[in-house]
Amino acid sequence: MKPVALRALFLSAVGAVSLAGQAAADTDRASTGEQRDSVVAIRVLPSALVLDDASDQPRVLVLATTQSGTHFDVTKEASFATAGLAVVEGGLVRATRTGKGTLRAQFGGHTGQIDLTCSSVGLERKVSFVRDVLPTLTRAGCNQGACHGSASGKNGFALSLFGYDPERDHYALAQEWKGRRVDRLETDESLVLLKACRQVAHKGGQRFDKESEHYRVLADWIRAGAPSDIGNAARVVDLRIEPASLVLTTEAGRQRVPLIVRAIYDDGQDRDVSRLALLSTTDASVIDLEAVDTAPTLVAKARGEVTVLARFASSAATLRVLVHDEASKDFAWPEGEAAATTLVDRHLNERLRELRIAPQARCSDEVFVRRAYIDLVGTLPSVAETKAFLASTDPGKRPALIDHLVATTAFSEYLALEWVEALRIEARRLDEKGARLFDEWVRAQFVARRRFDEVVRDMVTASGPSFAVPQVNLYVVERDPKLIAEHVAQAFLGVRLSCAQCHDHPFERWTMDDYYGFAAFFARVTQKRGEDVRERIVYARPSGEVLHARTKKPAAPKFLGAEVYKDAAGADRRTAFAAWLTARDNPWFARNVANRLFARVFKRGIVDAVDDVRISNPASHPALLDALAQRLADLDYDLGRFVAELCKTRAYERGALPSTAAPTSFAGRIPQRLDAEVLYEAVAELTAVRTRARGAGPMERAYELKPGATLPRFLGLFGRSQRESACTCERSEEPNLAQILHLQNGPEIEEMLRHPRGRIARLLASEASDAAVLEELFLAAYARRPFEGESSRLLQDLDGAAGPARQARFEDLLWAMLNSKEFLFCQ
Amino acid sequence: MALFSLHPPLAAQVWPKTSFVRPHGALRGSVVEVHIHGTGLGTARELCFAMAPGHGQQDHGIEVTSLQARNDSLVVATLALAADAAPGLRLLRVRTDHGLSGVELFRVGTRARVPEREKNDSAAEAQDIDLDTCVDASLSSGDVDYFALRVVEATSVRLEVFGVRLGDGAIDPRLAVHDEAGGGVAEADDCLLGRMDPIVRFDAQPGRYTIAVRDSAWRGAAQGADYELHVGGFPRPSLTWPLAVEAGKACRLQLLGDPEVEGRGYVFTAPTACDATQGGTGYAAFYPFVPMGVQMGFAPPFFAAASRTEARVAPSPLYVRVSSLETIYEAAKGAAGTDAVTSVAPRSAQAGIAFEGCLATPDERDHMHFTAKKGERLRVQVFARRLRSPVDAVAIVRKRGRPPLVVADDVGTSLDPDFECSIAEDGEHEIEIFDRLGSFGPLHRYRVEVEPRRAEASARILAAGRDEDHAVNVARAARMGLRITTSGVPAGTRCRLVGLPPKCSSEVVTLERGQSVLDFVVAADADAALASASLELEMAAKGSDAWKPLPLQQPVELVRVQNNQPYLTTMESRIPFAVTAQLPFQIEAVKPLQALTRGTSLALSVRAVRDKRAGGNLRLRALSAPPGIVVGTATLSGDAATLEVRASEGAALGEPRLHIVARRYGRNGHYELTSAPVVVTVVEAAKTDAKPEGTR
Repeated sequence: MKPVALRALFLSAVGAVSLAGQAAADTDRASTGEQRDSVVAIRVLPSALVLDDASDQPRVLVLATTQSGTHFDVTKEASFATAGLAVVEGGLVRATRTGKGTLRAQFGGHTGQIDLTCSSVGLERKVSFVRDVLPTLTRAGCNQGACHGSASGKNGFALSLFGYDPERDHYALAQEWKGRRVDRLETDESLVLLKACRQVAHKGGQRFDKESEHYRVLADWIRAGAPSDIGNAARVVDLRIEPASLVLTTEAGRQRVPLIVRAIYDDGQDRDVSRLALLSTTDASVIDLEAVDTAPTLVAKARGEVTVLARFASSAATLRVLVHDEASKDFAWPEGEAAATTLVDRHLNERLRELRIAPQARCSDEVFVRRAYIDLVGTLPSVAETKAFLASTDPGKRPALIDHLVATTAFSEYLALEWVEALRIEARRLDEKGARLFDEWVRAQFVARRRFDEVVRDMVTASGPSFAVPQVNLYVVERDPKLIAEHVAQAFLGVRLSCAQCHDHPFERWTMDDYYGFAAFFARVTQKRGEDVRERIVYARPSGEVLHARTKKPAAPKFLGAEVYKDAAGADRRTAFAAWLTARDNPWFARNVANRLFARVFKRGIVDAVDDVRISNPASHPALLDALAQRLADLDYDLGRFVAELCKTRAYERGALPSTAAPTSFAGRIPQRLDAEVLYEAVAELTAVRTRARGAGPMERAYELKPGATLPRFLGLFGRSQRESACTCERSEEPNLAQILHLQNGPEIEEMLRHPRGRIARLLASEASDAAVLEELFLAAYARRPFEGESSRLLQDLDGAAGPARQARFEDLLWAMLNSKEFLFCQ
Repeated sequence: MALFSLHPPLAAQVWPKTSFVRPHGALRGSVVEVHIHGTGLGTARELCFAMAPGHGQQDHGIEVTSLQARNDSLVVATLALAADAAPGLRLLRVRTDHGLSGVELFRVGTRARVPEREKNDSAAEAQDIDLDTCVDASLSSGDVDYFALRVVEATSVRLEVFGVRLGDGAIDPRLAVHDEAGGGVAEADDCLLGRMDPIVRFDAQPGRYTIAVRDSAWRGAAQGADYELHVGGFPRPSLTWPLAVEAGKACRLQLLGDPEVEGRGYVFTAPTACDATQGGTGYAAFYPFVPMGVQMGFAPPFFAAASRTEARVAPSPLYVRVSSLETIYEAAKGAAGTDAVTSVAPRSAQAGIAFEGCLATPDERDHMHFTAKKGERLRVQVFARRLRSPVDAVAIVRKRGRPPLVVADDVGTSLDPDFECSIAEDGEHEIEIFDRLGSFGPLHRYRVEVEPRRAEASARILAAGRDEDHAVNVARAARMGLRITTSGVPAGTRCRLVGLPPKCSSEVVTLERGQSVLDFVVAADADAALASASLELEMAAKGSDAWKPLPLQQPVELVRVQNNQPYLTTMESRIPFAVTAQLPFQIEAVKPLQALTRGTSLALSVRAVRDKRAGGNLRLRALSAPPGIVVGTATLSGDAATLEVRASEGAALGEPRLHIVARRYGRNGHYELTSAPVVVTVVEAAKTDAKPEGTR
């Protein structure tokens, strides 16, 4: 048993530059409480109001802009003038007579006005099933997935999810079970109302009360005979959030700002749907949502940036909101920060200025060399490599190191790992040999530096036996055309389509038509058993279709978000698909690849997760993403050059981001625990003990292990991807107790520490001094020399020991280093 | 009882099993010591060699000059291979006093063999080898073997590895060749001809080449997974043209796939024993060779094939279809280049007709015509991948201008269509052939045979267990049951075993209506000689005394992959048989005193007479049971046990004979015997007023 106290002592001594220490560098720039920002202007929103019936009561918002550029709500404090056209009460506008004019608002000496049109003031508009009833059900939560919107409904009452299928919903509400859910004569006795108000038992609880607007809409519709206006009702063609941009402050009294959500219909109608729209935020710790007077209201809570998503009737709109806090007032761009010369730096710096966040300072050479090796070749730099880099006085040594590493085979192998995972190359779904050959094929393409778009085209259009043409295994991983489509979409486009198999997703872009149209490209891909029972032969049949689940008719092949493809006689649909997929104007492919590589370098995607592109998961820097996609295409999909360019930026050289800072700002390096394979290699390199897994080739690194090889338990413990889905979430970085126990008490680690040919044994055998041994251990583990404080303290602890005692102490030291955050994480 | 006391310990009495042979082959004309590993080999007496399928029934050319069982798991034998022994595979079984082992493969080669010399784990440590040698080597886990080949003058080098084809199934080899500068020259994994084994050809300039062999999954085996590396100037074509020859008739062949021998003609005479109609497999093995003294690339004379002394013989054969059907060859392409209509007037399918062609151009579809009459049922067989052609054929049969009658692709694990087709109307029909993947090329050859469907009689031994060998081991003074399933044999046909050694006997068995399995029980006298034999089957139609061969087509699964599916299989056409030493027990099934009433069961008593030392359990089961009768199983641990015999309500009335099989499991295997028949009387329930005493 090791002396635990000694190890704890070492553990506290090593890693003087801890992550927490790095965080300390980000000093709190909070202000000490200054005078409030003065208002410089007000804006009245929306830009125009049209009130076309007596029930129409849209919201008006008066927004004040301060000197520092933040906004806050002054609607309640403002005074309004409409020349008798309408009255404004609590921010709601109600027409009093027909006519055109202006709505003028005044606050603190500032004025603003908008056009106001009132028509049909005396008319009560009929309740529409499509326009009013369905959004009401959605807002009340009746048709969400957990309730009646689930595939089988609830308690025999099934609605389409979020109302994507109005016909089915009308039938369910007004006709099913002989119309028992609505009572056209005794409206208030309608089951749908009794349930929603919980006047009879309802497992879903009370959704609204009898006095609510929701009740009134449903009751009016039932009273009118529960008519259907499907096919006649206007369709929402656009959804807008007002204001279009917003900078909030956490300052007391100015934190809350209501939003106006407007739906534009295909008949030209512009309607305030704020009370019916569903809103959400990407980070509730920065912006929270409240319903104040039934209006959706943003509440600024902390400095940062979020996207607010509004969803209504199959449409969605987003609003980017910046939040400043007291500290923002003191913001000044760091003086020493060089001007941005790269694409990445220009975009990121611009955003940082907007956010009033100062970027982290340039990291040290020690941090950089370790970071570069880990990120690019998945290993720690050797002691010699570190020494050489640190000793160099060449000002261009950082880009030179990047170029050197990117040129290595190890870089290509490590880069390929992500795609090996995304393509789900493992020996459970694939035959072991097929998986191994597919794995080797993918890696060989990376090593050969082939254009990535060509590699993808090769895979997508592949036919033949799975051993001789390994890339056909793309179609062996999944065999159902629908699942192939989902797999391809997620891997190559970063889009998750699976929801659309069963229903149109009302708030996302993809419909069932899109899904089945996309799957139709793979409808004719089939396979048979090869001569070798382990082998599959993949080929395209001349016929075969995918049936649309709703229409039960063959789905015509349709590119995602693009036109329908017309079959050419005898042509394999996949050829056209591959051409579309990798075309320069494909909006998804290049962005997906660029985003994955960006995430690889900066530890977070511009869209994060990288394989989940959707409206409700917007890019943090959309313009940068577009520019990177363009750059990748300009580089002919040379992934190596692209990664090198990303690494040769100021952004990549920045110091570690404090844990309290928003990672989406990219103001510094996001510290991340080493990937399972990299950590395994790092432990092996630090201890200089390497064990070869069964099924692994000579000198094969952990990230080069092929399917079928016996994986070290370590990799599973530390979250190696299981490759059961294309999801990046397959790789886990979550810490757990088993990991700690394995590193601290595991016999495997203990054996490596004490190995007779390990690093400690070798160093001590060389008769090096304690200081020299200490330096080598620090260089090996952290790519730096011990700080003076560390060195003196550790040497003091080691002093006097000789023989086995000396060895034991150094083993303890190595154990402590191996368990330190500085080793486990890459800063 | 005195006889029992002479018996060896139980562990040694089990039927022998072999696991591998080292070396896996030898140079003809040489004397070699081979080590045969396995279990239950302690009393090895004989090595039984037979020619592999397709090699005819010629002499195997191997003389065993010494045989010694070192222990229960190792036999060492000295083999003298005749200088004129035909190259190729032999099937090898070991006979001990207690039975025959399963099959091992042994290869008679034409190249000197050298053992692998460790340590050769890096290019710097590569073992020097010469051209025209065969290296016996093995791979352990994570191992890579390096060999250095020094080429003095420019030549064309062929490398062929035997890994999975050795029959051990331990490795899936991969091969790479590098030149002196480390540049890649050739690399191979699986290939069409070698299947899981790599074969490469490269043009070598003077210099040193490094050959690396490894397991593609880096596995190998703890005690080493064996492989052979053949290095030489032997020709390595992949196909013959034409694809078929007639048995016993000298035919001219061309070899395709190796430019060094393409255009050169060979005369080949397939043994009549290969003809399927005469009980053969329908394939003949042809070993491509270059005659002594003739350099590669020499002018193309015609060589008389199968010279037994040629040096540069390919290590593995090409298989040629043996068929006597008239064959029509593809005519030159028309202007469109898409159709291969023969220039010969369509023949009638009634007499049988064959076509041979080539899918040489992209997306080519060949069409062959024949005439047929309404009601005819034809068998259509495509031979392509079976002969190692790259064609993955799809066949369509239609009356000309009509929709397809049949569209056929693979059959089981074979990529070659093989199907039956009923003709719906008189007239000219066509067969369309194309490649499933649209691939094409000069080697994309195929053969199509069309002939009236015939009931071809064949037989196959039913092994007792999935992984058990089918050899028949009969102990002295005992019986042994043998179940043979038949195909194409009409009911009432009498069948018999031919070739039994003296003092062994077996009854003639008649195939009952509705059944396809023949149950033979072979008895050996107590003084029968311990010997092996190869038995054949004969059959005679009901009421006829004209006996004719009933061909045995016995698959021998050598390597299984992926969930135990057969990967490497060979065939035996005779029943391996041995008389073994007397077993330490006998069993007797006692005739029940009462009849077995339909719908009831009775207890069948089985007694054992054991040697003093022959304790332990005997597993009892019936060899077979007639329809409607079910016999249970039992464990006999003492002197007696009972088996439940149940008759269904529909069981046939009568006096069926039952044979009880007793199996004894030892530490390393098992052995068994079969009882004398016991008669059970099956009666109707109505004929008895009450259930007979003793029934349940």
